[in-house]
Amino acid sequence: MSLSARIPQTLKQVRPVLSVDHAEAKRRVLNLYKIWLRQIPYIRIDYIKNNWTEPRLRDVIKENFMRNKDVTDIRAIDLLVVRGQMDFVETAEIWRQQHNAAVFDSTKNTYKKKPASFLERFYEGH
Amino acid sequence: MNSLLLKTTTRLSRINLFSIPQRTLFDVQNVWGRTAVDTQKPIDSSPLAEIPRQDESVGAISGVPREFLKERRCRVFVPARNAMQSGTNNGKKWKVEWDTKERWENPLMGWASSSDPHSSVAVEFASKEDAIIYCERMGYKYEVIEPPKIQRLNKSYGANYSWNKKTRVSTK
Repeated sequence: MSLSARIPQTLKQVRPVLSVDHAEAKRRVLNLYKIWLRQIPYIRIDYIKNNWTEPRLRDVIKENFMRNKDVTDIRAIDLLVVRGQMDFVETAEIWRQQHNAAVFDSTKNTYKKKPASFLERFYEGH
Repeated sequence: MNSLLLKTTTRLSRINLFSIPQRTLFDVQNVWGRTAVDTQKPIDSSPLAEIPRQDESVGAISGVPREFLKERRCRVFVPARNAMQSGTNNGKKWKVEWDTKERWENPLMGWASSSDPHSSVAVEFASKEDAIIYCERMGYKYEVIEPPKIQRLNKSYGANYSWNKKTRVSTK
């Protein structure tokens, strides 16, 4: 799929967003992960209508972090960490509403699932 | 016996739900997590490296839903010439378009509907390379469609009267 070999490779100077190397970026990610875990008891009572249990919340947080596990670019990791930090503050300060916190949890996704197999898609009409 | 057990369990869960004191906005003070991750600018922001432009991955932070980055397929192409008397400048740019998703007729008004945000989007680029770099940085699958080569004939009015250039072929 990739045509990189054929197109001229224009180089770009890359400046660090926050971290200089992967170890530093990893430390930032782990710090963020820890503050999310420490917030779990408060998330439970602040967003009580989601009926989250502690083990479930741990899974939810892990799932959200693991979504970006394939990102290798240090600068992309840094920006994701900053975004996670902003999400955290929004959650901890109760700037979110109950349903707005539910978007973290994939099992609370109310969208109709798209059919996967050929026949199911045929029955749907496309 | 069974129904009695059911009753007690439901009552218990209800008590549990309301016995947890819910905090209000005013009870939240000093969110210490705000500073737990150091998001200050680095002191030394000298360049890390020089990387090829297309190796930069911006898909994860672009805000595009991640299902789109996985599923969608791009078409890199030169738009067709307008068949009316417009100029040909249209054919000098390259476009990136996404594959089409389902469309349906609105049952009330009969308008065309779609749930696909990419349905009406086409991104323009000055060159093919730029378009490819865009797709690679975003992490889209893409295919490049080269424009067809148009064979142009040199025509001159004088050739009509030349003895050795046969421009008009007799029908007889």
